[in-house]
Order: sequence, then structure tokens, then C-alpha cells
Amino acid sequence: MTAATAPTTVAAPKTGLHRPTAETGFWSWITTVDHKKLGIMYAVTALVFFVLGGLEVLLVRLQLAQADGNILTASQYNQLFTMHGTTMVFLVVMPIAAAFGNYLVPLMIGARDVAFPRINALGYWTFLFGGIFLTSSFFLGGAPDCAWVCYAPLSTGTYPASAGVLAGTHYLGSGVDFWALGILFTGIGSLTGAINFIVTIFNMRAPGMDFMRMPVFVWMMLIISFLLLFSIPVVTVPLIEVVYARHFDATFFDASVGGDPLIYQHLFWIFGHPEVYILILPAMGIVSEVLPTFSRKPLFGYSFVVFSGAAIGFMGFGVWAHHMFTSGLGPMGVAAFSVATMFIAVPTGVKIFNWLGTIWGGSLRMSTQCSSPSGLLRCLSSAGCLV
Amino acid sequence: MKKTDRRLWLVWIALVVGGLLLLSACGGNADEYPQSALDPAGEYARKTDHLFKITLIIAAIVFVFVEGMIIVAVAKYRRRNNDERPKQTHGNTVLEIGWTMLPALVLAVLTVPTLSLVFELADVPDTSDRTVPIASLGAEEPLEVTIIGHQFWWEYQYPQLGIQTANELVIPEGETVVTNVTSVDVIHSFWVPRLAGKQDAVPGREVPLLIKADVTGEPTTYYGQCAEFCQLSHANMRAHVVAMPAADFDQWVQEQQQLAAAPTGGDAAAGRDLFFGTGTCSGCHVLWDDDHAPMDADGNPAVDPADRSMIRTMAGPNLTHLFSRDRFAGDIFELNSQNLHDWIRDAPAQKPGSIMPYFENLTDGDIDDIVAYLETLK
Repeated sequence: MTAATAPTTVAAPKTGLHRPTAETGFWSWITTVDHKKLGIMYAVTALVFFVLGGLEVLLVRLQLAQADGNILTASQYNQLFTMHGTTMVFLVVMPIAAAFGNYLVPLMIGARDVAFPRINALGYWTFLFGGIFLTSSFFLGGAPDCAWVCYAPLSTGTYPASAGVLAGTHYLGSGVDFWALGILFTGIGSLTGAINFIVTIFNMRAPGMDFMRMPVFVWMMLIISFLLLFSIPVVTVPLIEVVYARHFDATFFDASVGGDPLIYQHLFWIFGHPEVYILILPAMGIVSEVLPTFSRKPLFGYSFVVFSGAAIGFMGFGVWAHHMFTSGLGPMGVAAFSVATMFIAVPTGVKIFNWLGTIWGGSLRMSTQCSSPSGLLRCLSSAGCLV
Repeated sequence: MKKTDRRLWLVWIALVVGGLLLLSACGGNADEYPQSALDPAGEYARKTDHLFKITLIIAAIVFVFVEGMIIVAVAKYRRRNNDERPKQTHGNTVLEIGWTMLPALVLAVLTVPTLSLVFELADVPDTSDRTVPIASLGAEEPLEVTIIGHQFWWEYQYPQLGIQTANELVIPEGETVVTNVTSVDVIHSFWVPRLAGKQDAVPGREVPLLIKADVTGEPTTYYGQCAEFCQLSHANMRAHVVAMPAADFDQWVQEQQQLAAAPTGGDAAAGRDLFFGTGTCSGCHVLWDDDHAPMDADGNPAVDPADRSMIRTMAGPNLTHLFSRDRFAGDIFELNSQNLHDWIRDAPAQKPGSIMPYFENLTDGDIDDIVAYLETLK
């Protein structure tokens, strides 16, 4: 083979679509695989859903503003608080993390883009489709009305009282199907994003940037990517089981034939608790970047901040049943998960103290950018005490 | 007065007024806040409340300390001029190990009362120290009640006593009652905050929950609320517990163990025919009278109430002693003939998602007869 047959001279295949070339305007956004553009798209989409989620809870609050309020029917009320929770968790806070991660991680580690730009775009479009799919349920037979955790057997509808002459009086509409499938779609987006971040951070750091020189925000994105990688598949199982129970009479959660409703709760919370940290760790990463900058002082105890984040990641998988203390686990289960839950407060406390150490002796400029992290510091410490 | 001074004053006034408003929410008593877990009225609730207060005090100390440090740091180390170059430090390992170990130690201390309470609440105590004898129960036998969640009401079965009732749980005061909580449809949660913590009612499981009410010397009511979202009328799924002195409880047991008497004539007799006949009420409701007596294990009418081993859980409550209760339909409506008439006419209109349907085949006159019959069920 000689230089004359270099790839540049090969003609584009005649079948298939042309490689999109628009760099500005509408088509550049639709066809982009650029991490910064996708980051902006994640952020804008999340903000749109944020407004929607806010409107949903506004109606809920209006209903609650007076005794015996009649702004909403019981069914509308259930739909709105379910959609508010689901929207805020899956369509607002998670994509906001993806937005910051997409925009900043390649820039912070000195990479040209993420490892798989096209999969990155696929992840965004799957998430957007999942969000639109979920929200469209309002116009297609009613939104999900099973609360954001959608416990079985409420969500499956296969309990004795709904059978026979009684059916129809409190039948759950197709909303639960929209809920289960919508979260599956957004889950595909999250999984592809997680794999993308892991591969990017492992392989594409600038020369000389070893793991202990990585920015803390990149560390936190790496940790939540692993959390997503291990927790999204777990929640996929009950989601699919709910759909199977609703449409193919599967009996995973039907106690009358040997199923167990608590299996749903275990599977949901093995995802659901790491999810809490998936939501908070990127914000903790951002605080760890903003406070040093505005204090004109390096982060106090970099390795403690990083390793406490990693500890939260590991311990986050061992505390799920504290969401189920009232469900009848027995004293041994409650005791074990109480202890685990108490001690996950330690790494969180370490972070707060290290941030405090960063400000201490610094020169803090209280601009808008900086007052939100210090607000978070205050919120977190008060929330931690309440828990 | 300078402008900044005035602003500072406004901030202070706002803080004081806001603080007082917040504090005012903490006041109140059982009459105003009948469902407050912070006002326990029984041994188990009091133990939980005690642990909560220990934790709260430790947390409050930590909170004030950390919050104070943040405020001091933000105030003291704010940028005074743009040329400042603070001393560059990267950390202090001793300090950091210290503030990792210290919270861990505090939590380890807190673990001790927490774990001991968890196991204590699961221990069924013996009742040999019972001071006031309860005629209905053996000397060393705690009262057992099976609590069954339905959409949207609570059923109570007393297996030792052959009693089945709904919404209103009657217990002897000062006695440990061992309840077993379960459900027939979706997950509910039985919660009477002044007496005990929540216990989810999960289909297919019977989970024990200990309840004990303080001795007050007179029948005392404690209110509760379903605490696990169970669909349309979750908010209308209420309950109340009446704790009675032993003598009152024994009398209540005797009354509840009686079979209903069949009325001999008039509207009530017509109502009874409708109830067991074309009205199809008995399709969902148990009603024990001489013709419909509860069975023992061999399928014969039970002579001794304690032999009623086959108490059936139906879609609707047992109505044998309906008018011994104060409220109905998930403890939300006062029990009187007008409310009962409206309910039987169109239950789903009274309570969203009610499983009891609208009965097309019943005329208003029929419903009056049924109500007349139900009113005889004292």
C-alpha cells in the first residue's frame, strides 16, 4: 500500500446520509455530537422540565392552601404529585449533572471531547424522548398516579380488591406504563452517559494528570458514573416486572400466589439510595471547585474530599433499606441499616469541615456564584442534623 | 438614624417575628394536635420520643457549632481588598483525621440507645404483672389484634375473643397489645402517632407492632391516619383507638360477642330482607345473627365466641355492631342515619375511589329501610 491511497481520497459511500456539516443554526444543534453543545442542550432541557415540575407542584400547593380545597380532583392531585417527584428527580436534577459533566469534564481533563461523542448524543436524545414520553401521559389517558416510587402492588393493579365487580372504580390508568417505560428510556440515557464518562476519565486525561491530580468535580463525576452503572440496571428489573405484571399477568409482587411486594421496594431502593448521591455528588464537586477559587486558597485536604466522596459512593449501596424501616424487616434488618445509615454521615461531615477549612484563613469574595455553595453548606449541615 | 442602621433594625425585627412564629408552631396540646408524635401517650411511643429527643439535642449542638463556624468563617475571611493574598495551605492531616473520627465517635455513642430500642420494641413483654385483671383474657395472655388494611379502611380481628370490627380499635388501657398488621390489597401503613410508630401493612405478611396506652381511668381516644399512599382516598383513610379501663373493656367485649337480633317487623325487618337479599349488602359485609352465625373450625355455629376460628375478611366491614362505633367509611363520617343514607345511595360520590358502588336497583325507600335496620345494630 502506498501513500497515494490515503483515506482522504476515498469517495464517500453513495448510500446512507451525508455527514452533517452545519456549525450554526437549528441543524447544528439537532445533529451535533459536540460535548459542549450537548451539555448546553442537557441544561436547557432540564430547565424546561424544571419549570414544568414547578408548575405541577404549584397546583398541588394551591390545592393544599385551603382545607377541603377543590382546585383538583383526587385523581388529578395524585397525578400531579407523582409527576412532580418523577420530573424533578429524573428530568431535572439528573440531567443538570449531565449538563455540567458534559460541558466541563473534557475541558477539565484536557480532552478534545468525550470518548464516544455519538453515544453521548444518543444518550441525550434518549433522555429527551423519555422525558417527552413521560410527560405526554397527561394527554394520553392520564399521568401516572402511583407516587414517584410507584410501589407494587399499587402500581401493578393485580391485587384481589380490583378484580371482578369492583374493577373500574379505582383502576390505575395507563399512566403507570408511561412511568415505567419513561424511566427506562431516561435510564438508557444515564447509562450511556456513565460509560462515556468512565472511559473518558480513565483514558483521555492530559499527560501528567494522574488520578490524584484530577479536579474534584471530575472525581465526583467519575464516582456518580460508577453509581449509575451499578444502580440503573437494578431499577430496570422492577420497572420491567411492573410492566409484565400489568400486561402479561406476571405475579412477582402478588402475595396471594407467593410473590412478595417487598421485592419491589428492595430493588427500587438499591437504585434509589445511590440515586440520592448521584444527585448530590456533582453539586459537592462544584462546591469543591468554587470555594477555593473564591477564597483564593487551594482546597483544604484534597485527598480527604476525594476519598470521602468515594466512601459515600461505596456506602451508598449499603443503606437502601432505611427507606423501608416501617415495612416490617424485623429488628435485625432495621438495626443493621440504622448503623450503616448513621455512619454514611461521616464522609459527608468530612466534606463540610474541609470546605470550612478552605474558607478559613482565605479571602472570600461573596459573589452570586459563591453564595450558593455557602448556602449549600448551610443547608446540608442543617439537613444532616435533622436526619 | 442612618439608613444602614434602619435596615439592620428591620432585619432584627424580621428575625424575631419569624422566630416567634416558628416557636408558636411547637406549642399546643392533644386537643389542638391530636396526631402529634411529639406528645406520646403510651410506653412505646414515649420510648421512641425519648430517643428522638436525645438525637435532637446532640444534633442541635452539632448544628449550632457547624453553623456558627460557617458564619464566623464567611464574616471573618471575607475579601476586604482585591490585592489580598491569603496564606496558601493544602490541608492538615491531624486536623482532618480528627474531624473524621469525632463525628464517628458521636455516632457510635448514639448507636447504643438506637439499637437497644430497636430490639426492645420487637420484644413482646410478658403480662404477669398485670395489675387490673381483664376477665376476657387469660392471666398471662397479652391481647392480640390482627389489623388488616383495606382500600380505604382498617379491619380489626380479635382472634382470642371472636370479635371483628372496623375503623375504631378498642383496647384496654395500660396493657401491651400485640397487633399483627397486614393488608388485603395494596400497602397501607397503620399509624397512631401518640401510641406507636408506623407499621406498613404489606399483603402476605403479618408484622407485629406493640401498642400501649397510658392509664387515664376513662375511655380515651387517639387518632391515626394511613401513612402509605394507597390511591384515591388515602387521605380519607383514618382510624382511631379507644383505650378503656379493664371493666369497660370487658363490657365492650361482651357486647361485641353478641349476635345481632333480627327485628320482628316494620321498616327494619324489610331492611334486613334487603340486606341479605336483593340489596346484596351481604355480598361484601359480614353480619352475624342467629341465621348467619359465625362458624367454628368444624363448620358448625360457634357456641363459644373464642371458637369463631373462621372469621372471614370481606370487601366491607363487619356490621354486626355498627352503631357501637362513632364513625364509618374509613373513620371519616359521623355515624348517623342521614350520613348513612347518603353513603349507601352513592358511596363513590362521598369518598373518591370507594369500592362500594352506586346501587341502581335500590330506591330511596329501600335505602331508608336498610338504614332503619342498621340502626338496630347497637
